[in-house]
Amino acid sequence: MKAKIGFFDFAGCEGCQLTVMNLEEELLQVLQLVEIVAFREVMGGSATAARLDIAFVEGSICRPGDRERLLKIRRRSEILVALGSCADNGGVNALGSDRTPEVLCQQVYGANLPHLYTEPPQPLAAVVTVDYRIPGCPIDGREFLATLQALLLHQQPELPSFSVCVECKLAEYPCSFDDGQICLGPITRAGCRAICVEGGSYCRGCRGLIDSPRTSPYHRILEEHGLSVEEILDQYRTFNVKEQPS
Amino acid sequence: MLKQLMRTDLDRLLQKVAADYHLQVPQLLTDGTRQLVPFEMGELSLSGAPLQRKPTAYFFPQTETLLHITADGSIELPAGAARPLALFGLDRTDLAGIAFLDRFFSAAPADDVYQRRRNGALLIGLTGAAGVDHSFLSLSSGNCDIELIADNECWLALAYSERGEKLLSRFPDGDSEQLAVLRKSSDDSKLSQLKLLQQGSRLLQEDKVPDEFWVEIADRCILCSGCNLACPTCSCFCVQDRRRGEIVERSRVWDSCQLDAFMREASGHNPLGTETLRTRRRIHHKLVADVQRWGELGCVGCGRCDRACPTGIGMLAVAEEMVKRYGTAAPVE
Ligand code: SF4
Ligand code: SF4
Ligand code: SF4
Ligand code: SF4
Ligand code: SF4
Repeated sequence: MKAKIGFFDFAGCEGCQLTVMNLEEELLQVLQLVEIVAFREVMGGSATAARLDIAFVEGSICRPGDRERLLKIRRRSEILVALGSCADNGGVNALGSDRTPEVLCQQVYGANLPHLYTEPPQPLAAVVTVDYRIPGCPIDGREFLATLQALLLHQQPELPSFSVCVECKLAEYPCSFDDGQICLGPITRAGCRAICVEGGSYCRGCRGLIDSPRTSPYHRILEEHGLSVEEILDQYRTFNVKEQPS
Repeated sequence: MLKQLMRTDLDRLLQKVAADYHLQVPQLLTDGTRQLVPFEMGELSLSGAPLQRKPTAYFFPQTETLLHITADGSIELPAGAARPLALFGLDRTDLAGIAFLDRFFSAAPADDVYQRRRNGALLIGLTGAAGVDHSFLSLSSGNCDIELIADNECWLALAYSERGEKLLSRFPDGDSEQLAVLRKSSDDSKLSQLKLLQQGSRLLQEDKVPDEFWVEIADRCILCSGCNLACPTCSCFCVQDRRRGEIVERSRVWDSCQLDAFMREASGHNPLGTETLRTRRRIHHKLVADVQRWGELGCVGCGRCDRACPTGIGMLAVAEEMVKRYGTAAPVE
């Protein structure tokens, strides 16, 4: 029997689901192995199957009703995978979590619009148990396929344990620090092939922290570049929520 | 055999080489680095900064397919290149790095994958007034087929192999006194980095560098692995199997002893489980273990790790620090 999989979304830009859809050719092969029972961005209607083998969940949790909906998805899913940065670590949504909804609305829209208020965006893990995660903003399509393949084979999907710097050094891109531009590569999980550095920019940490980031030497480099502790934390916060409730 | 080449002779020589080899020559790229590129793709760069990329990567590339296993279980080896490689523009350290890997990969059990690329390849050194602003680069120790020594708008050419002699045979003879003068100014014992490395090596062998030193240096490492990836004498790799349709592909990829997973065992135990041990390993391998195994340093002093390291703890920086703190001039605890 084909594995039943579903895609669900919370607050996010849907870029990660779009990345999955853009896998056009591979997706046709994937469909020979799985049955997609929920994927709002692609097919209309609501999910029908009661049980899911794998739920891929995109977005962060911040609107009224999000928690209940996520809990329901969790209850019907054997495996739950956080899809992308918002689901994995709060993502860019979390940028606003250091100020109140009133202030945020005022700053963004120049008016107080209470119907737009949300709770501080949280990663899925703040509400339910997340079995696996596919990091990135947006995700890397090949990493999605590798994760799906591993899960269908009942294996543990693996993420690189090393930092973006390793992929950057492998490709021999000039280091941002040499241009006086700080970079989150040293503490961010590899897997994107350092595409932002390749494109002439720097790593903003969208793939989240590695397991044992070398924070002490990293902070030393940042300090050498004249950054204060607060500025260093600001850099982290672009993609990573300030703190996670237990 | 000693010859002298003018610029037109040099071009003729390279054309001759390019007829039989896949020739790579130095060029100044728009990003400001000097790199080897296929011949006749642009202006030659006959002097300047060291080559950005380690030339050993031509023979031991970042990823390399080792074999394919087909659906019926038979094993297929990848086909060799149609034409052998020729590398031009290698300095003393580049040639020493290649010689180091040659010896490493030919020691039993010999590595046929390395030999497949290396056998038949032609190496042409470029030394003498070929550094930044024509500064003087030390001569090689003859570990190439041809060495061109730049001096005043011309090149003295030495052949060290039969193939090299054949390629140079039709060019005019060079002046042996001019060569003697160049050799004199190129005395290896004058190279300050080599001295520093040897001093560092001695301190380590005499156990004069305390553990605290490694704790301190390791605390500056961000684990980017750049030092190992840039190093021409680093030879560590890991092997991976991938399935592509019906075919299984086995390949090898460079590894780095600075990464936590480098030695981690399936049980979870890791003999190199701390950054301190890993940093010590990186330096010890080149300055102690290689000296014990091969009778010479495993570091050729190319400076690539120092340029790659974002936190200033490449080999030469660490050697300098060791000598400064624990060298004979300073009191030893
Ligand atoms: S540019 Fe960023 S990712 Fe690349 S080596 Fe430098 S710090 Fe690391
Ligand atoms: S380089 Fe950094 S910010 Fe860019 S995709 Fe990779 S992890 Fe994300
Ligand atoms: S200077 Fe660094 S990169 Fe060069 S050979 Fe020595 S250890 Fe390797
Ligand atoms: S152990 Fe480390 S220093 Fe030695 S060759 Fe391997 S990667 Fe290079
Ligand atoms: S290049 Fe420097 S920071 Fe990076 S792994 Fe090597 S020693 Fe550590």
